[in-house]
Amino acid sequence: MRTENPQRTKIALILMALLFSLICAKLSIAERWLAGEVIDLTKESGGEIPYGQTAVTSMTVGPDGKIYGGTSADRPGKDCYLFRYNGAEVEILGRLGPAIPGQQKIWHSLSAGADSNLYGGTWTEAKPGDKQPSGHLFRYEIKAGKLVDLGIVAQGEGIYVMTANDERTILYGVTTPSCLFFSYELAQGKVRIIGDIMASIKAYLNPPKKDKQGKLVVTDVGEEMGAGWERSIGGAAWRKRYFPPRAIICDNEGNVWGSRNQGCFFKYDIKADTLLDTGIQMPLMIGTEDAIITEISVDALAKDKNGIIYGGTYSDGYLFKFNPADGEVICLGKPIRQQRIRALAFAPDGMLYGIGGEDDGISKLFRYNPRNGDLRELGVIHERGWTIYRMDTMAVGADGVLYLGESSRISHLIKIKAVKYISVIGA
Amino acid sequence: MRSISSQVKFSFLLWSILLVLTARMSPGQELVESFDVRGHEIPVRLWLDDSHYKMTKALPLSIKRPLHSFWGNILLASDSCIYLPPATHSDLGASTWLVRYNPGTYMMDMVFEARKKFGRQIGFDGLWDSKIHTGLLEGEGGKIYWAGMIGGSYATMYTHLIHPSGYMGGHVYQYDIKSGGTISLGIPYHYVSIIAADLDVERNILYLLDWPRSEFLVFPIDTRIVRNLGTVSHHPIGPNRERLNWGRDLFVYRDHSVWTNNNFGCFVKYDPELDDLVDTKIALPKNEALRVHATGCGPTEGKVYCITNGGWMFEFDPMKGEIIELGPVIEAGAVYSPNIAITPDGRTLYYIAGSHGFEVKGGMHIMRYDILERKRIDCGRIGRETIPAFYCYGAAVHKGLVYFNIHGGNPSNSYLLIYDPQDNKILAE
Repeated sequence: MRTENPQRTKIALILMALLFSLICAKLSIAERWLAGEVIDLTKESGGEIPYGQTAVTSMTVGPDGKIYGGTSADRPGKDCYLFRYNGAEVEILGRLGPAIPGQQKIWHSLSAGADSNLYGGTWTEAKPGDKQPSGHLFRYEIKAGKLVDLGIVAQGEGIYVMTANDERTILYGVTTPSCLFFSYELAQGKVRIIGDIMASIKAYLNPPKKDKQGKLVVTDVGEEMGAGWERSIGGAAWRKRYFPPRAIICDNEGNVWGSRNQGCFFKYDIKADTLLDTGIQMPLMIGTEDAIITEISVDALAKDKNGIIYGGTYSDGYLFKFNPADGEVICLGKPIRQQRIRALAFAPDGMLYGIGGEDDGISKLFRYNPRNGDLRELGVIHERGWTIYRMDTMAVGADGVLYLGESSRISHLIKIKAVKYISVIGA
Repeated sequence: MRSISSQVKFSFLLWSILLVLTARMSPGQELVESFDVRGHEIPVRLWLDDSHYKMTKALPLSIKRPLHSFWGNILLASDSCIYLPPATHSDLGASTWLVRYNPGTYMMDMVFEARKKFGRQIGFDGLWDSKIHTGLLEGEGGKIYWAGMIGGSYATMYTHLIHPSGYMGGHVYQYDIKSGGTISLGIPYHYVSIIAADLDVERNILYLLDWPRSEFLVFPIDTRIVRNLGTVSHHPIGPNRERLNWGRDLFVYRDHSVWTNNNFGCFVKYDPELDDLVDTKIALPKNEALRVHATGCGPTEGKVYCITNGGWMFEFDPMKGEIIELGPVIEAGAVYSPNIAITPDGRTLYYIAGSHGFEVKGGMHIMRYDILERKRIDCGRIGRETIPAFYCYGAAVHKGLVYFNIHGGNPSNSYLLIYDPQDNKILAE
């Protein structure tokens, strides 16, 4: 006859509890990563786009519905590239070099034109001791597979950001370093510099001047805008206190919006053909407006079907929505802990997707549901042995697929059909 | 009355235990056997654990646990001492040390503890360096350099950032042999570890590979203005790991170029004239990554001897861009072997084949490779019965003896292994 042994039962229970704890511990250390198809641009191009020139810094849906991307090189003297993804494979459309020599970056500037062509602009950093090179506007003629140089906007100005109006007949852009606002009408084929979005802050700030030791310093004229005292703030010339917007957008009326100094919006009023300084301010940490301790700019912008503009801030990584009709700004919070909202795009189902994260941090995808206000981080992308640390641009295909551009020395095009996760035990 | 009696008994028991412990800790007591190294008695067993502290007296008794593991190469420095980089490999309470062994006096002492010196000063109690993967490098004026790495379960960039305090990043340290002082040169890049480093001694520039981002950092020691030249390969994690071409080492060549590998398993060269990384088409054996190297001298001057992540040996001439494959680290097959040392005459390489659980023929083997004869000799297996060896991360040759830093066991301990090729025997283990 079998008898119960309480001691044995107790030991068995303890062992079972230990086993259960171990299983739980094992599960808990598994990390969840956002899965996506990761396409290596260098490998896909058979090495045609070398490492160091693959950072995807501009993407758009082309007039033919395909995804077009532009890359940036990690230093002047190296060329940027154009590529296209047709849903099955990456096609390298070539480097800008032969048609427009010496172009380093295609920087948040690709736009589809109403004439079924693709438009973009370039920005090249100055080599040490050299003058700032001039960026070029270009047109990629899709049918002919031909790149056309449309010339420069202004001498010594790079094209930092561009957007198109809803009809895709006019391109608008902002240059760097001077922050000139310009337009390019496709039908006319002419660049027009409309104004300087930083004119007021430039007038307020004294230009850098040499101190007694010959060192270049910037002087301050008080804490508030307007007249005040003049003193050296001891800084170098980099304390310029304004940064070009990293995104601009056209509202449903055809007006163009973007950030200027102090975290306020500029508005290009299309009817009055006037560039305005508005007092409409992005959400930001009080005290950082002067852009001395961090860059103050709008980092990304997207527009929903109703014409409400959604944006992200560089300095604090706030997501906000902005009604251009009445100027109301509502802060929606921070999707992730880091600074920056690097890209935003609406999916066909009305969801807003975005990328957040600092250069030295890790880029994370997030989603905002405008219907119920749910703001949710979706995680870090990892696939086929690659973790995506930094992304700078995104586009949504007509089929709802998210396309994201990695922007490191070795970069990938990332494709996400659905939000799915893989679990990985820590490396 | 009964309770008083119990208290007395309990006190007596406690005092007895204390007395036994005190007796065991007395410095004069012989705890381990001695070893004979060519006529010299080594007075202690060279375990860097509690018993070692007790014997050497030089180490503070406040350290209560064994030094867990090694992850970086040892250094034969200009003072003829062997320097070792033990570490805790833990999440909290993590630390790293610099330990010196003097082959002249057979004494070992600890010269630096990172967390004790720097961690508490800044009141940081979060994630801290718990490994030294870079090994130790000596520059001009008897300065020794190394950098920190995170260990434990915070293994990826994701976890580095998720932790409430985050990982502040791997520190770069400088130890001055003359003064005995150690300073932190700062954190070159926050959140990330430093997994590999080499020093351009003439130009006083450190070149670093960070982890897990695998970025190439230029760190001039004089100015400390760090530049990040971007990703060179990628740290793979996940179900389809491609560890074999993930770069784990770099070296500075005599023309001031720096070499590591890219994601294709080809060499990447940092060209100091261009101040840029150049992806070459020079493929490493099996398109694997560079794991460890030794620089040639004497008749092999100008050649670099390397082992890949997967355990393939090769000779590399950076001037010609030529690779000569030397086969697997041991005849039985290629196996992970992250250590190598070259003799001062440049004719012979020593290394231990097998590491980190990757073993051949039942364990880890001490190997000798005659460079001119192209001949490999298996000097024998390290006895598991006496050494719970799991990992060997470095090697150095000094006065005919070969030194390896090894850790293993459960719980893990670190120790120095001294091998005498003349008698083909392990002298101290």
